[in-house]
Amino acid sequence: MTTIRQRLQLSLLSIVALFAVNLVVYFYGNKLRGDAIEYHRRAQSRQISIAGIQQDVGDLKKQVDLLSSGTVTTQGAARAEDIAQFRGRVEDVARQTEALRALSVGEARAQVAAFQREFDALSRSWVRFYENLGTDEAAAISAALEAEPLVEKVLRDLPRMQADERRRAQLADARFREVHRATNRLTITLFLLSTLLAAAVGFLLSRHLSQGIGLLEDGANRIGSGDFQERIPVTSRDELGRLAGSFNGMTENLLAARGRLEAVHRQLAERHAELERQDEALREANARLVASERSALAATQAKSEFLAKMSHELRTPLNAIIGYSEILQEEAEDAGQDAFVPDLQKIRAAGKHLLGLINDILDLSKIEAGKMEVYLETVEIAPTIREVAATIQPLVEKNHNTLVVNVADDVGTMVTDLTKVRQGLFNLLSNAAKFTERGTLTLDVSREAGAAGGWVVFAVSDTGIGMSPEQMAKLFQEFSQVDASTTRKYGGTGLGLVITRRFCQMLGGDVNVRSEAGKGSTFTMRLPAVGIDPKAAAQPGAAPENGAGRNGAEPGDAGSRVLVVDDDPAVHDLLRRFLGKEGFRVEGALNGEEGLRRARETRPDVVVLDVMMPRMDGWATLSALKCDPDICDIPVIMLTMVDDRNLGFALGASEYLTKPVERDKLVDVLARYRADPGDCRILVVEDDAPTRSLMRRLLEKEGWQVAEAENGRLGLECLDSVRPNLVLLDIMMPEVDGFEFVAEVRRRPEWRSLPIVVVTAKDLTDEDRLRLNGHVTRILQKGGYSGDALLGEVRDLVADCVRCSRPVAAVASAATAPTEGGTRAEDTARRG
Amino acid sequence: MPKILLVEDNEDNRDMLSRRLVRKGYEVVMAVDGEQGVAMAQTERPDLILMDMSLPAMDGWAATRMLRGIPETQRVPVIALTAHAMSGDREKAMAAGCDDYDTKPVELPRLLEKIEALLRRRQGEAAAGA
Repeated sequence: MTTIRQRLQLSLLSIVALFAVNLVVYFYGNKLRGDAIEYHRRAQSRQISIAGIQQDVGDLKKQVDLLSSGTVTTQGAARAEDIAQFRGRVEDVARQTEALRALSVGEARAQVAAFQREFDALSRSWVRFYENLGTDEAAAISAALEAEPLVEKVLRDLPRMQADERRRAQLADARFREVHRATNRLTITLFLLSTLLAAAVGFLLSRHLSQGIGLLEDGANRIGSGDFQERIPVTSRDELGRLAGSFNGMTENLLAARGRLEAVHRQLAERHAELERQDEALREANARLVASERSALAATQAKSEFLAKMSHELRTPLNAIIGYSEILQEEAEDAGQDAFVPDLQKIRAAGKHLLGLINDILDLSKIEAGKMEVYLETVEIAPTIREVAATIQPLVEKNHNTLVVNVADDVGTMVTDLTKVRQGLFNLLSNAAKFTERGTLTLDVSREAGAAGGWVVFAVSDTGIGMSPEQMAKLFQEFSQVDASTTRKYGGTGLGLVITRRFCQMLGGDVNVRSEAGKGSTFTMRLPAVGIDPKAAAQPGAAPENGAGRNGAEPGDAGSRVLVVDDDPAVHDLLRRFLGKEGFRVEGALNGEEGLRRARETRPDVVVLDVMMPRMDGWATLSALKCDPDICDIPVIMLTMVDDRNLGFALGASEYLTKPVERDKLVDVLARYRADPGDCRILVVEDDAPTRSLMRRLLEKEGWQVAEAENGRLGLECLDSVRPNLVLLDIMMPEVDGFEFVAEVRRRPEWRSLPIVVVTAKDLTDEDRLRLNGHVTRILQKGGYSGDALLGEVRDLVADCVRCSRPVAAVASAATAPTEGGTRAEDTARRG
Repeated sequence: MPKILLVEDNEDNRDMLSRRLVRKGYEVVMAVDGEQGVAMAQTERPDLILMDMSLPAMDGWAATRMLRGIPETQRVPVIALTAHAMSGDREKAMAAGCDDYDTKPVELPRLLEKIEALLRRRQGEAAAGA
């Protein structure tokens, strides 16, 4: 079979053909029936006609008979009009006969024609009889006699013809019935046939379609469920077959595509696994880094502690050596045993040298551990120089040198770390004295104009052995005295210049040297007149002074400055609008690098930092901010979609806010960091009432608001209502002590960055410090402070804390050793 | 002969300083820790106390504060001796109630100057008080 379309067309055509045949049969049968009816009708008409003719002929015969029997005797000739009438009647019959002949066909027509001829002869006989009647009797009689057999024949013929016609009518009737029956049967048969054909075609077609579609459906379902090996059986070459073929083709393509996809998928999976391995490796590396950083930090800490401890351990016996050699020397002199004196002096000198070495190494290790602190104070320069000159005088005289001191009249004061300046000067002068014999040492002190108060220059010149350029190049390196023989000859550790340079750098200046071998050297210490404390968050030009009357108010302060680091400029606009009204000045940076640069340049009061940024993300920026000692104390508020508080706080963030920005919350948080020392609340947590009230008086005199709490528990209770900017905390208290207070405060996220200054009489053990380490801003020994000193410390801290609310983690390392690190003026003076 | 109470835990230091002071003509009594120092300050009634700051039992800061709280010892001059000279040590010593301070190892002439000065001041005060 061919296509379904062709099959359908064929079926339709056969049905139409059957229908046409039916129509033809119908019309043909109709025609046959009409013919039969017409035939029947004509036969009847002829019967009627024949009956009429028979009647007329009978009438005529009667008239003739009547006339022939009477006329012979009695009657005269027939009148003319009677003859004409008779002729008319005869002609009428002839006309009727003619009409009958016209109606007849075939055998009937021949019969009628024969009858016509007979009647014609009869009518002629009858007319002759009638014409001769009365006049010519003989002729009349012969005519009558002639007519007699003709009439007999005619009257015999007519009933026969009538019977023939009746027979014909019956025949026609029978034919009609037969045709009617036949057409009916045929029509019904054809109708049934069409119906059967249509039903059969419909059934077969629907069965074929549903079977084919069922196969397709099954196949499609199986393929759809992923079995691409499945093929739909092609059972025919029709449309369904072609569809199945296309479907199979599609399945082939799908199979091939799936093969390719699986290959790609496998590649992706391998790549993914590879990436995961790399990720894992990175995580491990990261963990190792963190661990090694931690252990490095711990090692540094341990090293510093070890050095501090060792230096103490070394100094104790050394002190005994020096002390006893002094005693022996004195006793030898008293006893007149002068021979011992030079040896005892050597022992003492060696001990002093060793002590100097130990002190230098301790200094250097402190510098390197970042634990050397800078104490800025206002220094009268001229008296300081006089004191230094007096102290160094014995050393100068030892090599028969002369010291000339030139201090400019306008030298005035400077803000600096006195101890470090003094130590630097001692180092330079003692160096000069060591390497010069019978020469002149000159100390020139002068001012030099410049920004922020300018510079103070200390120049130490000698007329000693001098140095070559190569020797100068190595001068400021650790343990690299000009050469080993120099050490033996001149003593010294080689660390003095290194320490001096590091001190000068810490104070914002430097030391350099001009020299020529054999012609002496000039060392020049150049320090800013207003020193910079690298640890304090002091603004340039606003270095803290220890004098009274400074309460941290910044004249003309145009509000706290907020640096927004976010790659979305819309966030900048939003924060500018939010915070502008609250009196903050908002600056923007669009990426991490720019943020770092601007933080270093402008030193904002607080940084608001996003995490998701291109190139350098927020975490990297945060780490970089916290690693830079110049800006690590600027509090950083994370403002981001990424909710990873722990990471944020671990990296040193002070606050963690999530986007979308909530205006009130942001303003609330920022308010803690704004520079507004006028509205500064300090909570004093202290169980000793006199101390508490003393602190209150001291602090209130400075214009700060003070709240008191008798112990840690009360302190915690009033924290929310007081909302202090700073807490002064005693450690030894009833109920809740200082340690518990600190731990509890740090547990609460809103107080995580609250600065806490421990003021305690307790001599804190290392363990105590460890407990507080990283959680408090500063530890002050209560006993060791006069009112003024404590106030000075607190004032500075409050100013710092209020100005920028130092993030705890950043300051902790700078504040862990307030009892270490400091002045050793007298020691240094005697150093070899 | 002025009497000096030396409070020092290190035996060598104690021995050296006491011997040198004795040779300079002072009577020296010694204590080895803060508690003993405070006790002896009351019993021995010294004219001056040399107080080491890092002491066992009770450190020098605490001992000095305690001495300042006791009427008998309230006015006795105390010179603080600290092993490591720190910035602020002087202030700390003054705040604790010391009259002066010096660093160890002691530079005897300098310490003697300080001792003499304080003793003179005390004598002056005593004379004025009398």
